[in-house]
Amino acid sequence: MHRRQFLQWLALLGMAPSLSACESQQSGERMRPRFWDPPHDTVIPPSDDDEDDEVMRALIDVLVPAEYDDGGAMTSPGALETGALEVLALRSFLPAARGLGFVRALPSELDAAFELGAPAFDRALRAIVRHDLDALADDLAPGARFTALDPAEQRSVIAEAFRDPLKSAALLYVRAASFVAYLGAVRSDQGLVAVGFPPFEDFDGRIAVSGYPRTISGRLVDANREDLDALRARGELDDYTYARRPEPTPDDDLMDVLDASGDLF
Amino acid sequence: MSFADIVIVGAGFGGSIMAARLGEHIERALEGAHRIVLLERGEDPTGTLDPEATSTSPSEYGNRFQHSLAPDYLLRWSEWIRDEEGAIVRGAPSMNVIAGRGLGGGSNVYCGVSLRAPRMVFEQTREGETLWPAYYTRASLDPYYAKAEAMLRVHRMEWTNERVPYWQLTTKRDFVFAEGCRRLGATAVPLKIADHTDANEGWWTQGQVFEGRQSLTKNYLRVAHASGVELRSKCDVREIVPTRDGYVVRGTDRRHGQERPFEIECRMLVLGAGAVATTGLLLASEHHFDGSRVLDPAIERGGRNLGKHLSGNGDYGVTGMIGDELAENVEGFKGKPMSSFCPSFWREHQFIVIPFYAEPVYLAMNQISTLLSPEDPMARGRSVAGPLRGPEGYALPDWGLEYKRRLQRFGARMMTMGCLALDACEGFVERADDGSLRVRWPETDRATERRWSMALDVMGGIYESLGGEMFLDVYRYRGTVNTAHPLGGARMSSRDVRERGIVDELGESHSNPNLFIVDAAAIPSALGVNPSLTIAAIAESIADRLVRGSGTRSVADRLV
Repeated sequence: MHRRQFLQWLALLGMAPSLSACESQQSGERMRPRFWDPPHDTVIPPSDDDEDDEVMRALIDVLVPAEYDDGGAMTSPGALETGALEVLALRSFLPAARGLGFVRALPSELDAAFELGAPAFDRALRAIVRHDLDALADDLAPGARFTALDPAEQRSVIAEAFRDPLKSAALLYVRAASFVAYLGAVRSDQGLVAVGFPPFEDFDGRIAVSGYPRTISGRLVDANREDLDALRARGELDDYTYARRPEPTPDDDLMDVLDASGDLF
Repeated sequence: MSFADIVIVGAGFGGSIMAARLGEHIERALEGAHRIVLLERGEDPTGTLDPEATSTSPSEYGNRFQHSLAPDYLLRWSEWIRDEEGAIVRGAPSMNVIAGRGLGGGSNVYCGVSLRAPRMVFEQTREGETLWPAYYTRASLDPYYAKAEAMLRVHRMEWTNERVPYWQLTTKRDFVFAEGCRRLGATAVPLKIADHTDANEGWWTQGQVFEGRQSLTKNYLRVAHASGVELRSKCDVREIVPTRDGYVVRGTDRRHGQERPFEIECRMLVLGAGAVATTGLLLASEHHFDGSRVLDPAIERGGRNLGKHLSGNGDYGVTGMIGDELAENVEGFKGKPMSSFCPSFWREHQFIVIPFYAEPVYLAMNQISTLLSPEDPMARGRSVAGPLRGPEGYALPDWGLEYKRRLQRFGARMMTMGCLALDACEGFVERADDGSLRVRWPETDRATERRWSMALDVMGGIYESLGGEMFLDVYRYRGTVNTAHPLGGARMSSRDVRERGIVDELGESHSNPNLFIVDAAAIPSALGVNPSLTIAAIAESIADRLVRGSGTRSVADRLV
């Protein structure tokens, strides 16, 4: 089936029943508990199409992959482990991603699905991603589905999909959710830790750090009572400043640029 | 319909200061005889200023922002206005504006940088015409700058702790930046910051203590609240309509989990919702103003000013990675998000450079910058470097394992910088048929291009002097102007050239008595420095002249 036909089919046949099914899920007892405490947000129930979910998981794991040691133990989480599926499931993610400029214009069918409601959007997104990646997988290895490809082939298919303006918008959306999950501390701080941040002091409260200065062991220091220089000299201070004046710059006289209070003349 | 003597729309620097100063005056000099209502579209982050607020504080741990890029959380405290159409076309100029929302406006999400605008800003001319009304000079504003600095507790940061409390020290990031500047023959100096008693009132997604921020909720809005000004959150003003004696403000009250329409009649109306929102409100209401009360006097001569002359204040952010020599020490996520700047190029080129903390997700998503050079050639003649290459010489994609590994030393090596410069107010605010607002930046003035080009050379030079590299930036990559400092859209002009502006030097509409714009929308040029303190000083100045009746009718006279 050509993509355009698929999208038309999706718009005409797929959305209405899935929307009603999801809405009944939302209003019923099967609604998923919120993983975060957004006062206005809603979480979209997961798709009940296992194959769609499998493709989405595989895609996310290629976009921001987890890393493992030789023994198979995870050494660095990826976007799946840091909650990309949950970010995708947030009702507010599309407007936020648009506002932040993380996504380009989506196919009109996806826009239409969003107007129908978050469940319809999520279902349509997964179906489109699966359709596009499976079609490219079939081009690469006739008869193969995306999830059956080896990792190098999956990367090749995704690279091809990113090069196709028709296919790239949905992929960019998933990429945005993957990086927001990995680095946005929405569901986990482990992505931030992986890029050099300290672990959150209180992840449930989303508090990265409640104050400085503090000791390397994490104790908040009362700067008015404790001797910071002594702590620093002992190598115990988790400092954010050198408390050092930079070397002067020869021949760069700011006398006629800055006034005494630090404002430009 | 209810009645208030004064309605103020928006609770950022303009609206909050007007609320505080007019509220104080009415309480003390006029025995509280007049009612002031302030309407703010966003929430009350304190949970205490609006007695009817139904929103929760930013976190259950009290008045504290969280570290989260959770979408709904972002949408609560900020909003983005974009050029969707332009953003689709790579290389075509477009514009993104980020603005704060909630009681406190931009002060809830800004970095506290508080510099006075340099003298030459007020002396700018274009096509032989001065941009600012003659009243405004650095000297005329200096007393009001001082007043705002006292309220906002502005301090100059220091490199060492010999004279200042610990929380007023610059960060390691600043020291590294200063060393880069020095190697380039330039100088970095500490910034003036509105701060509080905390070492790390960092940016709003850093999860640090909001109570340590010097937000407007701590000063001007407290004064307004104590003076009896009614502060209403989650009240979205849709349009304003002129009446014989004043104005009617129409909107929607979203408190109590409902959407209730409201109408308030008032004698004085003060708009302080920010450059884009105030201009958008005027655009939405323009059809109600005609004849002798037309909002935009230029229309009388077949021209147009409303929605035009939007400046991005020359904002231009880039990101790069510094070399290993100093890299162990950057720790850009610790301490204040901004605390130093390089003024060395102001005199000759009219830009400053500020190093700052930026969330890694923006960098990963190529928003402040791109971690990879683009493969696509730029439209409109802007040059780009070749794509970044992997070990085998192939172009790296911006996803996958190698890309992820490039991010892994973010904490140690990544440093973001931005320039603020004079631009030519090339932007527009427009209102779509569905009522939504968008901004556009159809073409960049050649002088702005030259300034940015010079700033890019400087910023790239700093990275290189530190053994690193600057990654390509969004403007060159996509043609996008990203700004957190929109100015203009409904600019002021002297009364003798009313056709060149929407409001006069007092912020009062040229054709509509008692309709004021006291926020960034009225600023007629780029400032070249972070604008919050100048917006505050202008609001202090306007409030003072209104209270004293200096050069205009006093508030008391206007409310009789």
